[in-house]
Amino acid sequence: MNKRLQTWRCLALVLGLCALLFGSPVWAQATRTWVSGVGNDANPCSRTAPCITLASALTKTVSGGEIDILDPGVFDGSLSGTASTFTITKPVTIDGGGAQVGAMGGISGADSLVINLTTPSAGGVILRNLSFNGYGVGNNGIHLSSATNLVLENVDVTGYSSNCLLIDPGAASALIDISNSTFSNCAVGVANQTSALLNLGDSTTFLNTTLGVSSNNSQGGVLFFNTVNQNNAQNTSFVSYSSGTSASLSGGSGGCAFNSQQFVIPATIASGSLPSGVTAVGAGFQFTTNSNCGGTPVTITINYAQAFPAGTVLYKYGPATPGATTSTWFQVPGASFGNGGTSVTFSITDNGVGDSNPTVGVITDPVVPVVPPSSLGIPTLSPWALVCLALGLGLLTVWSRRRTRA
Amino acid sequence: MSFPVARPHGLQILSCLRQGTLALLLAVPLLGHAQATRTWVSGVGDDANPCSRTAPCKTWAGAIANTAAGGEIDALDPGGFGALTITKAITLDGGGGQVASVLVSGTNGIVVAAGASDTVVLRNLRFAGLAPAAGPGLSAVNFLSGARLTLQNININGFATSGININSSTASSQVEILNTTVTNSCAGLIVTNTGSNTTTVSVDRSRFVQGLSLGNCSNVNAPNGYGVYATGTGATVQMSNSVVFGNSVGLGAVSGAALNSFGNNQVQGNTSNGSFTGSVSSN
Repeated sequence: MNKRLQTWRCLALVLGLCALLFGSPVWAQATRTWVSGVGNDANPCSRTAPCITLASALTKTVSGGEIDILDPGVFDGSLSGTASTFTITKPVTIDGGGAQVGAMGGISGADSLVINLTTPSAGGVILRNLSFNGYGVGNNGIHLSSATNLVLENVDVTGYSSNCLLIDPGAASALIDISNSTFSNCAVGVANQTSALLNLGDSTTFLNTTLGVSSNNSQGGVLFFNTVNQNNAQNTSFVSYSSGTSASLSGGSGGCAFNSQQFVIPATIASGSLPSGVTAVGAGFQFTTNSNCGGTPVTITINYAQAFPAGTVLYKYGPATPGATTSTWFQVPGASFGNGGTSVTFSITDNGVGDSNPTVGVITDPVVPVVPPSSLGIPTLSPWALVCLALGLGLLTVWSRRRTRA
Repeated sequence: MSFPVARPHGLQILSCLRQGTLALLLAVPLLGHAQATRTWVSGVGDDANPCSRTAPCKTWAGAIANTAAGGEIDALDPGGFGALTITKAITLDGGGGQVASVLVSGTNGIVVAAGASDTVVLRNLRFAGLAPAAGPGLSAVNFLSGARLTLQNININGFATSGININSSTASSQVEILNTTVTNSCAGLIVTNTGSNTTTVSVDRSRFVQGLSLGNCSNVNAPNGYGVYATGTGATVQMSNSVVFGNSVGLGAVSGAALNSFGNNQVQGNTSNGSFTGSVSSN
């Protein structure tokens, strides 16, 4: 036992010495740091003594601070050594200025920029005036991997073998705003794999060899505003809701119409409080009507981009009985799925079951298509998960036996 | 001015010397730098300079003292040029592309407290307020008085009150907001006019994104998390080609304020979108 303690002490001493000898010098973190194509990472990354990599600048920048690019360059390490993936672990703004070229280059088989915040909700990441070139060999250009809000302004990403921009499942419910940006010459320009909501404004995807924009999570969403997807092998592919998803309304008294309507991530309805075991299988739909919708029932039809799985029903959050003062989740009675399972139609009466707005003539109503627990099978593991489980158990056994011997 | 007579000679001379030195000290800066119509700031400048093209200053505040009313301050190269209070007609131009920035915590970025007939132009600038970290900047642009304000090509991120806060005490004020983006602030744009004054704000090709209740918010005139919020009968906002996305509430107009749309805006993806109060024609 004493010998073991001694070993640990030695190890700690060696590690401590190593840290002292080879660790990077400790700088106080600044609210704003600078990088330059002729900078040096031994510098404090100040305006007059800039660094040469974004990775070094980030370590010298406070959470929520800003890294600015002083002059043209590529800031992935290739100017001072070897390029490596730049991982953003805290909220930051990175601004390339407007006249600069470069920013991040490609690394064979690896991502140029990974955004994976230690505390995903600590704040947003802003990327402004940057260009990414994967040289045809980089894996992903920008890879969002934590539930962090991301803003891209005037960002050009080109030449990655997988995705120019990837939003992976770790980024569930993130908001991503993209403006004046381009995504080109990748396999996929913009790939959303989770319940994130993307807004592509004044941007273009082009010459991507598989897809321009793909969003394959039924709870995710993609909105377009003055955005063009052209010259891609296939321009768009959506399982998610998109700007094209639509809804219609009929009934009520004369002039009854939507005052506002939108598809939303289900987690934004009633703070994501869906009852345990109930799984949302599509975007939620929120609307408020104008004041002409009293009297006769109003019929709403919501059109989705994809067919729902068998057993899908429509849930809503609101008063389950007419005039109820508290809101709860309940199944909308009489909702029917049509058009090959892609649309759902239901009726609602002003101040009747489900109307969350007591004003006469006005109906407010958030609904979500869900699969309730009764129609869910017993959870099973996929073959690969079983293999992993077996391997894990095996390793555990070996470890436990070794421990016994020691 | 009367000379002290009852003092010993030594003290008298000392006193004269003191007064003389003081006068000299006061006069030197005025003599050294007459106010120019155009001055310059640089990331490697020095406020002891006259802020000329060849001897630029380091801060907006240093330059404005050397700039005549109605003149212009331009950024020569990238830099953070600090907070500023504007009390006269002036144009600030950060240049096309380089990072010309104002980074603040705990205070406003640029306060416009100009005269009732003054025109102020802010162009090509970035504002960093550091929210949601503790003690963020209050508002990037805080307009308190002046006849006309233009904000053109401005990027604002991380402010605790509002990216742009307009609450003018001038009888009639006009504000033009072009190509401007506000992100991650406790509100995007707040226009307040509760008295008998009128404030008209036009917004074109701008984005108000992710105004969330971030924590450390310090709004007085509006609830947190709005993209665009107008309050008071004197406040009129009109928007075209603009985006309000990912806010807690997209649009809000209360107490008689008008929030009009040209019919070509995108108000989507907010927890609650809110609505315009009316529409206007763009021609």
